[in-house]
Amino acid sequence: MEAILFFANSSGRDLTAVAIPAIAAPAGAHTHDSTAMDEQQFQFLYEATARPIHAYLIGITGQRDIADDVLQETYCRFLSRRPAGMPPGESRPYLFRIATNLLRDRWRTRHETQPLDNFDQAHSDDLNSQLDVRRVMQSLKPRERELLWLAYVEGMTHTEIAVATGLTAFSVRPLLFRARKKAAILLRPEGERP
Amino acid sequence: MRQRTCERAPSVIAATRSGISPADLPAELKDHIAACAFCTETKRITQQFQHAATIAAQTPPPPAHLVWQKMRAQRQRQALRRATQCVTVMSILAALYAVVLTAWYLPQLWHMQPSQNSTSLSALSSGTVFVGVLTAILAVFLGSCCLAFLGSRTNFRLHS
Ligand SMILES: [Zn+2]
Repeated sequence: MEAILFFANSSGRDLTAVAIPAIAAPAGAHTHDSTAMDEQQFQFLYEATARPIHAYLIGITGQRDIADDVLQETYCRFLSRRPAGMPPGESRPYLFRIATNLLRDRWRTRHETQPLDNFDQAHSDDLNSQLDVRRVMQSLKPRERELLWLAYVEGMTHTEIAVATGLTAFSVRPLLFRARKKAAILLRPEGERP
Repeated sequence: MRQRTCERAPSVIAATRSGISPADLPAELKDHIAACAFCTETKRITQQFQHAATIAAQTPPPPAHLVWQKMRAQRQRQALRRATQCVTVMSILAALYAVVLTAWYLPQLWHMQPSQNSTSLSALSSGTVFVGVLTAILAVFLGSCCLAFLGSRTNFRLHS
């Protein structure tokens, strides 16, 4: 089931909100263990939420194998650590937060570089635009990529970004402003660049 | 001074994210973007990041059943590790007990007079039985605590 359209306006959120109540409260599941999840329930959750998180991981790392690993670990952590009775709308930033933390842990412990190979393999018909994206992503720090992605691809508010990154809402604003400034300079048309 | 924000920026992001072509934007928003440097920049950044997202989305996530299988395998490995942890703890306790008992029992045997042997041995054996029973109860208690603690550390359940 292709449950969500990643780029469609807010469709990811709407479907997440629809799919997760069915998971949080499956018929007859309360009597036993409210945190238990069977394969079908997992599939609903996964199909409603995995695409934007996977795209986010590829966008930040540029590497499919890392994105796949981190995505799988994200769901493992989510299932084992989600607070009981978590409202459905909160799953999305919570999943992004787990994914972001796992990625940072990985970079810290394995000293992995971020070559952003995926952008080379993309089948884009607009080569200039593709090169622009690649140049911008490579010039930004991972934290800056995270913030800009969440703001401009996911359309998150500062509060949501704070939840998704583990930063305080107060510190998101200046960090995002600085990242945006850097990206804006990189994306300016040739003649307007400093 | 450089403009730090614009109240219309969220509308510009939302409109760009929705995929509306620039020509189809509401005239009033189009006029604002043309006049506002901050929103022009916002539109450009959103478009580029949306493009990056389109490229990223060309690589689909692994299928749900595959992730589920990997999660189950990982879950089983964790369970095995937890079970082994408990056995390891109990083995260490058993080794410690053996060392302490030997250290306590051997010197007594060494200093024992031959005439005292029969009475001392019966006293020793009743003492040993007492210590053995006590240790068994302690081991069962500690083992249960260990299992209960390790079991409570996860609420992760996967139905087969
Ligand atoms: Zn504006």
